[in-house]
Amino acid sequence: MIEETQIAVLVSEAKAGRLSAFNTLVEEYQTPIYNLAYRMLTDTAVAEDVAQDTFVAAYRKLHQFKEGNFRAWLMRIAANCCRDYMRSAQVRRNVSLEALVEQPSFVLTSNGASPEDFALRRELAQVLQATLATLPEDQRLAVVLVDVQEFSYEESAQIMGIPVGTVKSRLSRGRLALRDRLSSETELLPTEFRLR
Amino acid sequence: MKGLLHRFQMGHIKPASLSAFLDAAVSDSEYKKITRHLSDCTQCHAEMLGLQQTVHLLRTIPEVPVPRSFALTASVTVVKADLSRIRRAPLMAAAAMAVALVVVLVSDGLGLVGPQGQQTVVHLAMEEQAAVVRTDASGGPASPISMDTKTTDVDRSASVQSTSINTVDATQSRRTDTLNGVSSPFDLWMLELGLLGAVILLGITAWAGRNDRSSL
Repeated sequence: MIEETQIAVLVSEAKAGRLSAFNTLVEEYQTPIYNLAYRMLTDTAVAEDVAQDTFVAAYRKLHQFKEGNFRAWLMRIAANCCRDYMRSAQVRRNVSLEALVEQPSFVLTSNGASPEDFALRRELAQVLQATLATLPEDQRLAVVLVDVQEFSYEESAQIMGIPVGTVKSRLSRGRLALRDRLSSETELLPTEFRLR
Repeated sequence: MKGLLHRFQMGHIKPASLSAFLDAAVSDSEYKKITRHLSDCTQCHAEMLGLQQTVHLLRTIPEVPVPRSFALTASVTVVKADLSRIRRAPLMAAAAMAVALVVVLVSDGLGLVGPQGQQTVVHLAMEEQAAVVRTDASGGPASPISMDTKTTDVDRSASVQSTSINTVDATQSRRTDTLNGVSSPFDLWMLELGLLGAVILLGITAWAGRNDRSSL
């Protein structure tokens, strides 16, 4: 984890044209960017493309970044890239919840958990991802940022480019929709995680 | 009884407030009010528990490892920039065609081109021709000269005049031809239609290119 002061130095070096400085920033933030893209788009190959596009766009727009939260600025570009992708005609298709659950499109690392725990966590992650994919785009982004990636309300508002109050309402609607969906399709969840 | 009355007076807690309550994103006074209400109202309490469980589940979603490094290479930045310019080309061309169409339509509307404009230029050419004829008719030499020479000069003058008239005719004819190329109502209509077609086609190409992310 790079400190804030060092981030500022790397940003100014990158602005001066040092690609290696920019790439240090890429290495620092690629995991949250890729995860945001994956949670929003539910496809590893697409998430990979969108994450790469995000960094290319950020490199080209670097001169527009004055000062402040670089991570939020980068995440905002990623959110916009995801939005652009979703709005493109090619992805206007209905995503079947069951189909997504049956076709896991990512690899979950075991982190030393028992095979049963690993299988359980994997199953749960697939169900949650499939349920997330059914949310409207604005609610999904709020839920992913606040609940999955654990950004503060203020930072999420900065990333989404909306007031904090709007983040709260979108988050609330997203959480309620997820709760209703998970309650109504309990058979999709592992027994231990079923909502009561 | 007191609890029921309290609930009746307060009504149930809004979902947005419950959601913010879970994140401790409410004011102290609101926090106390919600806590008090939850201890009395089983329905709101159950709502809150459902939301809490959902948030808890979402927070168990593991981080997905990145499949590769997204570090940029010098060539990637250049190639992407070039592709971006290529993708923008149809849009720029459509904009240029639209501007040209507006210019033609405005010119057509103001009568700068078309039959009136053609008449003006032809009229000017006729005036030029008349001026040449006047100059040649009055332009005899001032010094005394022999009759033969005069006759020869008059012949030459007539010849020059004839040549001038021919030149003016040719110029007039050329100008009229040139103007006819764009200014007759039929041809102008064709030009406007052609420009409109080009704007639409290029616009569609630009729109399709924008959506085609496979080219990235």
